[in-house]
Amino acid sequence: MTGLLHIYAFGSLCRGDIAPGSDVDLLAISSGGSNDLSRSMFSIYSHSKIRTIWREGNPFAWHLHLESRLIHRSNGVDFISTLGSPEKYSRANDDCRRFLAICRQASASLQHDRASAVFDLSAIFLGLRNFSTCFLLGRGHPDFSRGVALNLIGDMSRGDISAYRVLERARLLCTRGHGEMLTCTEIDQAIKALPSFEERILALMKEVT
Amino acid sequence: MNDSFSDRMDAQRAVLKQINQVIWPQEELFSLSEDAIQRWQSVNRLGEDYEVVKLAREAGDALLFLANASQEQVSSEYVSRTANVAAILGRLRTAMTSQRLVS
Repeated sequence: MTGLLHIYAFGSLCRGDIAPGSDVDLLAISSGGSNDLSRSMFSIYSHSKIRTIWREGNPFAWHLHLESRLIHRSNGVDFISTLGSPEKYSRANDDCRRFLAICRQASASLQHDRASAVFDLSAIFLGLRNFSTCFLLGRGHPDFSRGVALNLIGDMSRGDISAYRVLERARLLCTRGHGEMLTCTEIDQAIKALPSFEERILALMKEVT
Repeated sequence: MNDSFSDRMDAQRAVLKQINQVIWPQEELFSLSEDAIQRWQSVNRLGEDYEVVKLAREAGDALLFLANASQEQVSSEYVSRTANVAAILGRLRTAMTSQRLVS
């Protein structure tokens, strides 16, 4: 392996909230050489791109700044530490809207047919999670945990919490191939709860607009 | 975050809807992640050389490349790989039709 290389761990491993099905999130920052890094094992960025997302105040930059841990440095320097804090995150409104759109696209797909039902439910989990991350970061309360949506939306009915757990299981089935297959009843239960989740999201959206 | 994320979701959804037109013996294909493909292949006892398996993996690899490459400036390879996903979907439809998996 040639060139400049820094490797960091981030995600649940660093937060200590590892659950069954958790994977190890690894970031490889690589520049000026060749490498055979696996794209399925690493998120791969150049040093230049990392500096760019720092300047943008990108949520991923904040996530790395607050939670990443250095594993390898080819030049003896902790690159991320040298960057200091990212710029203030100022795109909460736009990013929240994008993730609401992701949820709506998945919901529309489910209304059309069930051929990608588990993927669509996983996409809704992802949309809710990323909406919540962006919303909270925009308010200066960063939370990058997998359960951030549950933390944010909070007071849910037992049925909605059960539906949320179905979305979470769909996410693990899709990303890790891990867990029990969803039953038709569980899929129906999750779909039934979607209007309730959207209502809560829209209420929060009014706070960012 | 940019709209390429949404585009990749749509592309993955289109491939999954095509593949899951078939009622697979045990489980549908959940996503194009390598872990999901391996599970689907294993539980349904699909061979490594089965054309639909190969195309699913090819689409997954293409989308993974795009996910990583979207972090950098759009390159000519990024553009051609984007078109490649559409081509893989076309080949998938052809393969499934020729194998009489779908009409």
